[in-house]
Amino acid sequence: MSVLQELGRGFGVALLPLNLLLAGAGVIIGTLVGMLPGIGPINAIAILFPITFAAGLPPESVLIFLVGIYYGSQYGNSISTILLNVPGTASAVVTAIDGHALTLKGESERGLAVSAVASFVGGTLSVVGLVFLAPLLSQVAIRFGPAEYFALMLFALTALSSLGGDDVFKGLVSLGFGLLLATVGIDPQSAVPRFTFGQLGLLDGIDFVVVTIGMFAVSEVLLSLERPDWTSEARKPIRMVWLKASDLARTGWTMVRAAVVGFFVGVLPGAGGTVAAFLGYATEQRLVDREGTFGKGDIRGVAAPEAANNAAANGSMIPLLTLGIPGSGTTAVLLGALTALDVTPGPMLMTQKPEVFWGLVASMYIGNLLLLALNLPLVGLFARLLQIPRWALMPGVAVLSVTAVFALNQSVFDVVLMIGFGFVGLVFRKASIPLAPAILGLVLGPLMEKNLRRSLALSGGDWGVLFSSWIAVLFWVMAVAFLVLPAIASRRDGGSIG
Amino acid sequence: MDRWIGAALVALALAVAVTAGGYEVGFVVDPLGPRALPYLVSGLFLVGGGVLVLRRISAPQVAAGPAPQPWRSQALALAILVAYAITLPVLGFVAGTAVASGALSKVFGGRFLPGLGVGLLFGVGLFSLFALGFGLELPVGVMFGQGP
Repeated sequence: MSVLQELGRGFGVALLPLNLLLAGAGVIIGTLVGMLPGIGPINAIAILFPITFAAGLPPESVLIFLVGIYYGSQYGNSISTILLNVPGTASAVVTAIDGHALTLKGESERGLAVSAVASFVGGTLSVVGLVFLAPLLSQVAIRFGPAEYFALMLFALTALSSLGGDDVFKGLVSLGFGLLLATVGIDPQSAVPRFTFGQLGLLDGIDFVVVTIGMFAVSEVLLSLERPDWTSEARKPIRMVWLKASDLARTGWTMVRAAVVGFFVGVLPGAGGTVAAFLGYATEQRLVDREGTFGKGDIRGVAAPEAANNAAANGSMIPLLTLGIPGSGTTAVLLGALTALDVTPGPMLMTQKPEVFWGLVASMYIGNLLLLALNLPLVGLFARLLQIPRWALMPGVAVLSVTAVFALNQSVFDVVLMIGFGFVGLVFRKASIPLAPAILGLVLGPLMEKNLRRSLALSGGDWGVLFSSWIAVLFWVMAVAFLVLPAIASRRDGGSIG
Repeated sequence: MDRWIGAALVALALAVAVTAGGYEVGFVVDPLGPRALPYLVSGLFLVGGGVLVLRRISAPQVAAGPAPQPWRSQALALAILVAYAITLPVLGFVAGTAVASGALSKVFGGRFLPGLGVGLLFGVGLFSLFALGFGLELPVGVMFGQGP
């Protein structure tokens, strides 16, 4: 069957009333959590997953909802960025440069309109890219054996550890922490209990939800106690926004080019929305900024990063869905959710569970349309929610975190464990150790160990099997390159990369 | 701070390696056994922690001025959360959530009663969603006749 026929069937799934409702709820929640500084998509997905799981929804519906939160957050993150100069999520940092300059010039509505349309262009073009690239990648991946998978996972882990922060060693420490947590519990292959300290609650291992909510959401609540409050600055009313034809003509090609850049950056593991936004902005600055207006409130300086980070979010779904390998913290949480739902993403997903794959892709088209239709008229309403006082918002996040983990197994032990991870997350953040590699290590650790041991068992203990195909060797070379190059670069210029 | 974390990681690396050394090596079909991944973790901690301890700190240390004391309110928030979790089966979900929200609101510079009110709304809302919507029992609490 052709791609378009499959996509048509996907629309049949996505247009079911339940799935339509969930896509709408997902993108609205996504817009809100993207907009509220500190509460990113990863927190929302980790907190809401146990709740949707408890509701017993079919896997494609849960996925439509959770992924809606993910790309919806890439629309919302520009609202607080443009209005308050406080990036809603890390990938909106670049938008702040020209976005907030527009607000200072009294043109915040213009900035918000450009940002919404750029997000739509980036989001929609990248779904088109996903439809055509994903089947190709699946055909390659279907030939991967355990040795290739092991090398690919190693590459994904090292790429995220070295690109995720500005210090490759701190990335590796975080990765090690995640892998350590992954070993906790009974080893499925030798039945040896590892790092359980005689605790019954640890025999089954630690649920990724407990770790993610603790390290991300609880630590964020704690960290917000030392951040300045933004709510007092959010009082200026915003009217309904609309993009003028002249502004569209001025930014149209910028959006398209930045979407392409962002999409390919998103497909690569490790890089993600923040790098995509930087590259999209830098490319446009070089190509079109002849008058030197970038940085002074140029609408193209808003269009480029917004198109790029939305495209990157959707691009990052490709390795997750076709290879089963996430390249970022958020997609790692999605992999954990899929595994819990008994869906194994990978090259077989498209043929074995077409309703999940194509239903999700179709819902992403619909979700982007919904986001555009919601964001232009309702942005003023969203912006008013930035005034929710912190004494109400942050305890709410804490209570939701506890509820979500409790709902998982009705276990007080899990909740206390989660609070402990909240403390660990706080220490990590204060020492600027990135959190995402830990989540990726936790989710990929068991898969990696299984594939390594399987390939060595098949070869009778001969390590040469790990380098026996050119694809595996290619991944090994890339993994080593990502580890070594940033270390050399940071030695040369004494710190930051890029 | 890096140096302290680095030292802790090196110690953790040794502990992990020693613990993993005690795991029985698997059978012939599994040449690698359960020790390999913990050893890898130990190696990562040793390298990462060692670098954090040994390298010269290039950035100038931030001058320790009379900064506000976030640690105290953070410790307080952590304590409230732990107390909330442990008392959940006794107090029940709705009452526990309301009290915890009120206390946390105070830590965040709000007042206790409005926080309690928000928490009560949250508690009732979530409880109804779980109990009525998903058929999942959240603890009702001793007050309403449920054993802890």
